[in-house]
Amino acid sequence: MAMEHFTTAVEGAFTILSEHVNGASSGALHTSRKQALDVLREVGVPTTRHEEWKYTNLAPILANDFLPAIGPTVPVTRTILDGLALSDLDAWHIVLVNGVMQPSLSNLPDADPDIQIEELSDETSAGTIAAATTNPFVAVNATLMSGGVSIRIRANAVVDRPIHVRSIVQTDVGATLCTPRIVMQVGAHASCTLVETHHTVGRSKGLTAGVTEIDCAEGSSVAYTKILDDGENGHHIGTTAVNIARAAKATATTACLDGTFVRNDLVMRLNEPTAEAYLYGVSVLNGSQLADNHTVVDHRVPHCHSEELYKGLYDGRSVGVFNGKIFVREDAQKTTAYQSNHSLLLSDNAVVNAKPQLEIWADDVKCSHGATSGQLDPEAIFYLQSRGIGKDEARGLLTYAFAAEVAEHVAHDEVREHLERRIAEKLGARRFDH
Amino acid sequence: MQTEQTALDDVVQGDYKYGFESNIEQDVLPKGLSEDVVRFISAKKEEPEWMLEWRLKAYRHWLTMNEPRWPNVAYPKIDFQDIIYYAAPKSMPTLNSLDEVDPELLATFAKLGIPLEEQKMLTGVAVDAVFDSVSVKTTFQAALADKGIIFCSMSEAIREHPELVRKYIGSVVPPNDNYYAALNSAVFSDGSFCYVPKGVRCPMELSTYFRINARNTGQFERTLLIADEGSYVSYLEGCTAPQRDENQLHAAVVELIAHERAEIKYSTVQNWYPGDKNGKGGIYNFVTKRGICDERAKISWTQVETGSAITWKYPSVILKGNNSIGEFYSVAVTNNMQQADTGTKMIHMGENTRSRIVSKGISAGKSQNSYRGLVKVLKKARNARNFSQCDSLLIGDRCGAHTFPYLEIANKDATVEHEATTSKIGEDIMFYCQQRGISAEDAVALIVNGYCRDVLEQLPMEFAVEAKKLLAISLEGSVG
Repeated sequence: MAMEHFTTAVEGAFTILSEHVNGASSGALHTSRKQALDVLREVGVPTTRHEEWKYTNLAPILANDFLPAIGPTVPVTRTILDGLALSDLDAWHIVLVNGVMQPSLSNLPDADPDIQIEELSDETSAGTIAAATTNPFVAVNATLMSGGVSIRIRANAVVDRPIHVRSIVQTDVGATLCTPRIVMQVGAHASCTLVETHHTVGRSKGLTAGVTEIDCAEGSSVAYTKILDDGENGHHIGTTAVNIARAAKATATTACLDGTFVRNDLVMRLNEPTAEAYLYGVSVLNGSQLADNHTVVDHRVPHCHSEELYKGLYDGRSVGVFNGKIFVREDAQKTTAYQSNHSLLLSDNAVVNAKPQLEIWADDVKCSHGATSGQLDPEAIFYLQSRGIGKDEARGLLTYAFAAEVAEHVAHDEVREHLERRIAEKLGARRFDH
Repeated sequence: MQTEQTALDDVVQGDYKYGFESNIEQDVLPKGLSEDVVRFISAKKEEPEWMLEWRLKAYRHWLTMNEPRWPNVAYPKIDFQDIIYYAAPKSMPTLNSLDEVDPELLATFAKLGIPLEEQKMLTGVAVDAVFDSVSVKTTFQAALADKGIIFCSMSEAIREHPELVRKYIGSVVPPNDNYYAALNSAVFSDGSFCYVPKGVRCPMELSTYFRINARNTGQFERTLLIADEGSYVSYLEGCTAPQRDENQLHAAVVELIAHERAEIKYSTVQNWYPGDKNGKGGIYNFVTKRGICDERAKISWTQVETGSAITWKYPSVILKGNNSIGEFYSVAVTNNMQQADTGTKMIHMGENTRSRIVSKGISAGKSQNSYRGLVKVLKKARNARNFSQCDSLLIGDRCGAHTFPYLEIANKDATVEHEATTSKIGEDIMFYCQQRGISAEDAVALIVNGYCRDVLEQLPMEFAVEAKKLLAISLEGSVG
């Protein structure tokens, strides 16, 4: 029931959009929205019978009857913005409210030739990297997206200051669905840092069906960090797709630190030889939180390299899901692809479901994956104890170190320190619970 | 009366099956499947009413099921009405000497080192009186009976030991378990039954290879193996010699029950006809194999899969009892157009349960080789321990190797480790071998055997020797 209701709500919002001036039923935008809606209608909202959603049941989430919202329903105050994570970060802050970019709330570069940030005015240009057919929630986003953000980095530009996109869903009027879209194009040999955060503001529950598309041109270097650190009302289903060209390097770090429900789909395509992809993820959950990370590393051509490390710490009745696919296409020889996934269950009621997956059609490759679930090493605890550190403290140290290993890979100091602090806080909160 | 006659028939047909035709019944049902066919098979086997009901229930359930399409294999849709579900054992033309046998087949036999007499038996050449299988069988069965071990065909077991069959059949693989298990439950033709009583250690490796009456049990084979408390049995299935068969679809079911402290070791060498180089013909081998362990019991599966156009099976262990152990050792070789989707499921239910998975996949030619495995640790399975290793070796740039491990962990004390690698045979290793005067083909065989050693050393000795040669033969022509 909940599933059909959700589709109907999306259809309703689509109809309203098509009555708008810009979305007029004759335009190209209308056509692309309609196509996306058709995809959603055809595949429907996935159930646990769907292999990609085997461990994540959407029915209880969608039972909240989310209604789509486009643009602010009430004004967003500075006080609210300042209360959100990373607001003191020295960065270009871009604020999206219910999927629509708010230049007045954002802190944008003024006539900087290297970097161009603007409202995504031509939505039809989106979808080249994350097509609506990728998954049903990309289709939802493509049906309803309106005024996301477009970021362009000029060729050879070195942008030191991170670009921070904060997407806010306002839920004062009731359970709300928002569909932010971030499209980023990084020119040849340019480098930049993109940070993406999501926030639910309001009394009711919020669901974000977000899509981020990143195009890394030849020789470019992109560090992308997505932080899911929302409140209890936060629900997130997001897709990030990255195209990586010759000699370009993309690093994606995904941190699931708070929020009731998170599903991330990360797709890294190595499109030209010598492209490199690095994927890092950490989930620190408690209560009845769920974090589901699906990653795809697609080696389409020879001589590419990828590394992946995902870790999870699960307490309370939380559920962690990991599915990491590595595809090595025919003729993608000389590929090196490594993946590892490690989990620690901290309570009797926590569950982890992992499915590392290698699909290889070329022979001259070196690929491996490892997945473990277990406890802290008793010998390591003993060692620390023998050095005069109490047992609880030793456990705390090792648990923190387990998670923080992922944060180490974030190159930007302030962002990394923020992650480390949040991990420590979350684990510390656990210790006081007991 | 009847049983005596059948038992005699079994012996006679089994022994000289390819040589004499006079004793073979010529009943062949028309193609197709219906309740009448199920009734016919049951009647033909003179089964009791409960067995018929059981089959019919399975058949009715099968009708409501859909054919699974999730495995990573591709094949044309099977027309289940185009299969003959009951046929008396097929007879092969009698040959007078080995000279009349396909030389290619003989060459394979020679490489496997199969004795001349056995070669004759396998190819249907009239066998010498010297090779007296009847006497082999008699001494064999006397030794077993002495220990109280029941080892016979499934049909015989249903007639002679209905209480055991009724108690255990379908207890591990229920008739409604999956599509092909349901089909098998409805129409299974025969198979093997083994019961090892309490505290008995079976004095020899039980093998279908030597058990004459179980030859040609047809495409829907059913095996039931029960090891009572504290007993031990090692069971070998299959044969390294290439087996050609008219039946394209093989849907077997194997159920193992290991009671408290019992141990079952189940080894398979599968070498059904894989089809020609272009993927024409070949057997579809869709098998459901599962065992259940009581407290402190152990089940160990070892398989060497080299044949079949499509292999699709997951020998599994349900670790129900505390301190029970499950093992799975597998070598799956695919060449040319073969496809394999195989692996295991280890379900940890009891405390301190342990499982170990070692899977070695080798793909060559244009074949596709997938490992698909599940390690599930239930909430109550404290201190469960699993180690899995899945390695894939690629020979040639047109084949595929895929790994789909599922890890579902719901206990914090469980330790689960999974690792997988995919690579090709190192050029430097090949070069080293060749530089020492070893041909490319022999070098591949050498390296592959080393690569599979962890699995091969689990096989009973005589099997292991043949399996090594079999690996080399299966990969012939894949290099150079």
